[in-house]
Amino acid sequence: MTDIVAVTNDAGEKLSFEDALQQIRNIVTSLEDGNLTLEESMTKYQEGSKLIDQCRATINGAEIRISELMREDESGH
Amino acid sequence: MIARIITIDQLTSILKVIIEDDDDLQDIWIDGEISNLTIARSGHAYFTLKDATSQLSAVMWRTALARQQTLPREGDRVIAHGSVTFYQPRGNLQLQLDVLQPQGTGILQLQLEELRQRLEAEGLFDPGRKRALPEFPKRIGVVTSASGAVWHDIQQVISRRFPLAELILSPSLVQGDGAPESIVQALACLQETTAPDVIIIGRGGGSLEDLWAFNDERVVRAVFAARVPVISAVGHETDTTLVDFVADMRAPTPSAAAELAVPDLSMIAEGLEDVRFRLDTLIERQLAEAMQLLDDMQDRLVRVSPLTRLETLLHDLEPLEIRLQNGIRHRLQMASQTVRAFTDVLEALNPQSLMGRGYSFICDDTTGMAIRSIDQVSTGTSIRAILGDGEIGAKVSHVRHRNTLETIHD
Repeated sequence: MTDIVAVTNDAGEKLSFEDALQQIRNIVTSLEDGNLTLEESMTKYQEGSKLIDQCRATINGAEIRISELMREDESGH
Repeated sequence: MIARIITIDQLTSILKVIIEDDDDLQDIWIDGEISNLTIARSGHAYFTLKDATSQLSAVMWRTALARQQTLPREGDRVIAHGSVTFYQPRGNLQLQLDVLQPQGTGILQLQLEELRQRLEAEGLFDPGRKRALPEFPKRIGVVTSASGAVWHDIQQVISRRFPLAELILSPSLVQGDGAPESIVQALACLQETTAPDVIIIGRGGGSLEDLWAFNDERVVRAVFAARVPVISAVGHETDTTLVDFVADMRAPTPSAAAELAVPDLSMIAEGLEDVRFRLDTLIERQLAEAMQLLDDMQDRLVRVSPLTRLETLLHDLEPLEIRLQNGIRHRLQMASQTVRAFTDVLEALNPQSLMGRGYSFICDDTTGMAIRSIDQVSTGTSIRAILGDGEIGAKVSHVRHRNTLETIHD
């Protein structure tokens, strides 16, 4: 899935959709804990918003890929 | 043949070997009736299996008894599976039974039950080894017939719910003699070539015979050995196969299996909106708190600033100023009243007003001195009479004293 999901975090790392969701959860949790400076909060907030946008874009752009394996005995055909 | 004498032990040993090496006697189905049933304190069941003319003693160990869906009862007509053993110390033949099914059960079901109990005893269906399904599978492998409704239904559900996934069919026969081998190969091929995160294995509903491949020991063992979690969707909800027992998750239908395999992206999208709202709320709250803090600081700063002290001083000065103004105004009013009083007096004394009443003021025309006495003039002195509206020049024609009223200076 990683190869079709164009989510990158602030460090420029490519994230899987799952990891992106996890990062969003982490960001919300750290904001909820309320131990961040205002500046840190703003940074986290912007990163969270960006990840959400990217995840949404991924969801909207998702297209399933379907294939069939071929075996020599051609079973099931 | 040379006659020879052997011991009882040698004989029983021979009998034991003859009986226990006979494959047919070690895997045997027996039709009989239970009598003299005793369940010992140890949990093992001892009874006699008999028919109209013969009987054999039988034992069912506690572990086998525990896997029975129904416990044996005195007088039950049963079909039993087990092996024939020879117990040398007593010279007894004994049936060791592992499955008891009610009389009338079909042979397929009997075999199935026997296999189920054997695999269960081996731990293949242990709930403790069931693996959790991945939350976000990247690649989903499907083992089923390429032409059946199962593959179609799974494609539909996963395309709708989780189009992020990659869906791969490893086609197989799902019924007939070649099906078990085909399913085993399809599973192996799928895992070797695509490394899926989760596998769905299944077929549509059918008779016990149709579903038979999914009760095949090879298939069950292949599912057990799968490297990733397997979801089974075999037949209808009421059909249960051994693959359903061994699978990590059992789904009632292929569509349900697909729904179990993947999350619903539209729900995730909704969840993301909730998260966005929470993020907004959190940051707004923190900003509001910061603003509140600034306001408080500003209030405190204002309270201690010199300007504020000046204002306080000015404020204190205000009543003084008012008192000052009031005082001055009062004094001015007093003065003004005094002036008015004097003005009235002066007005009363104004010669002009006297003149208005017929009086006139007479002065020496030469000196301008007011004439207060007849002694100041004599006949011929030029005088001026000043009246309210002008003056009259005149010469004194005579002087006469009031008492005598006689002319003195003639």
